[in-house]
Amino acid sequence: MDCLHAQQLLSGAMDGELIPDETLAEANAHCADCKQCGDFLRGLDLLKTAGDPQASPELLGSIFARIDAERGATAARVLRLEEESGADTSTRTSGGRDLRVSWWRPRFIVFASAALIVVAAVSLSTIGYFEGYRQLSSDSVKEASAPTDQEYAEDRLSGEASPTEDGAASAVAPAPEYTAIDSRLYVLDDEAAATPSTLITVGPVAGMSREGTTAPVYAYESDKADGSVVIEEDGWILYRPVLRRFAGSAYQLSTGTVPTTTGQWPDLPKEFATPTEADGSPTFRFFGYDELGVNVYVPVSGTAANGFAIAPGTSGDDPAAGNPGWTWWVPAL
Amino acid sequence: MTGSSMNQAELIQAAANDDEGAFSELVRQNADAVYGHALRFFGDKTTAEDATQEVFLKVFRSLATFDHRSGFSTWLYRVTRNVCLDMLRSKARQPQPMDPLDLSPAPVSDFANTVTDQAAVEQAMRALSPEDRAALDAVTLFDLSYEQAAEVLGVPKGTVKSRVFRARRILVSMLIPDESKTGGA
Repeated sequence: MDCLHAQQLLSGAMDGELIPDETLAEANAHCADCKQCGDFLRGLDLLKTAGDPQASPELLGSIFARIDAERGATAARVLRLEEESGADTSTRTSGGRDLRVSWWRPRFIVFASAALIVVAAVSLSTIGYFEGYRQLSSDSVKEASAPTDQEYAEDRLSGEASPTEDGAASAVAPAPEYTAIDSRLYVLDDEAAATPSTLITVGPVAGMSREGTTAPVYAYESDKADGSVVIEEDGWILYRPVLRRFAGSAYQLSTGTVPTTTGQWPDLPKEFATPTEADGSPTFRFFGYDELGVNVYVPVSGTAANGFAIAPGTSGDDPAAGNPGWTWWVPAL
Repeated sequence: MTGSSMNQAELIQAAANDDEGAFSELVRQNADAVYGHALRFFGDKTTAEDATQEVFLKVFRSLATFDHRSGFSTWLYRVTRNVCLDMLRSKARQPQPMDPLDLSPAPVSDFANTVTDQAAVEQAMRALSPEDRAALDAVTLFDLSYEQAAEVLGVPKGTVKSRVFRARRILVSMLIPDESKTGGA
């Protein structure tokens, strides 16, 4: 056995590599006869016995103090938000956005657009069928028109599936160019990003593998200090985390179902049933407002410490605008 | 059940459910590894302590999102690396210059003197390249397998193995000089 091989075996054995007993015995026997390898073995023993740096009791105390402060701050935030939200947590009468308004307005716009298209289509076919008959009954138009804002809001709040919702669902726009790493979502930012100066792995990209293989595609940290990642795909593509801010901290959009392709909207983690009511029940309860004034919901018996939910239909300036379902946001790394 | 009597999976679950005792135990069990990596990364005790606090604050905020698909140690190592790199990028912290020529660790002759040995080892660590040191830390401080370390570092398993081996050879050569080459006694 040569020196290099003997030393490699001894190093691997130290890390728990499975090496046959007789091979290891051979390597040790070589070290007994070879001064250079004997020194290497002594060195390995020294590295083992010298021990590693230890966190001092003072450092542990500082860590516990910071965690306690964080717990206190979280509790204070929860208390303040609960006080602000008052007894009726399904709607807000002052100082914030009314849940019902934020819920139905985008849906109503989609519905009204769909209804107009239907009316136009019906009109054209009617015109074609009854050649020469150009006078439409005002009653028939009225029947096909959208319900009033109040009617739609009442439908949503009563939890009934609106017939228009099915129509709207088919018209749901595909999601932005999301990609998932460890259930956290990132959105396409730059298709010609700079090559990262170091290749530090963030994790495998969900649903992606190297062409013709099952080898995962890895995302790496970009050189930006904002949590963005880069993926190599005929050049480097930059993705930034989908974030929203709540109570002074950043939260990242996550998904329960790992997307298999781009254009898929995220859904809730498996442990949460999709709410049947607009106020988040029976899964969630209203908790407060994020920094854009959007309603934040938390599990019925939980807090926002581990994440929170956002109802569908957020407006155009929202980081997940257009999402057709409930979304879940986790503390950003 | 107290934090110290739980197995690791139970401990992580309890800590994620805001069990203070469990989280404290999790910190105690892993603080040395996090601090050790940060100390070797920055070469400075104060910065390493700041980084260690930052890591556990992030763990506290994010533990509920840990999905058990990778091992806890793998996840913790990833968080630790990210925190150190973020602090480095913020320009507020710079690793101490590392020039192997400036290093003169005392060769070890008495294995019983653990404190001296540890100081010599840590000094020799600074002669390693960041890549070799990262691989060695992943395997020795965080107890990751070569496969797990490869996943975090984004390199093949064989590369991790060779980096760890190269790191050890350098350390040994600095700690136990070849007397035949130096002409020592």
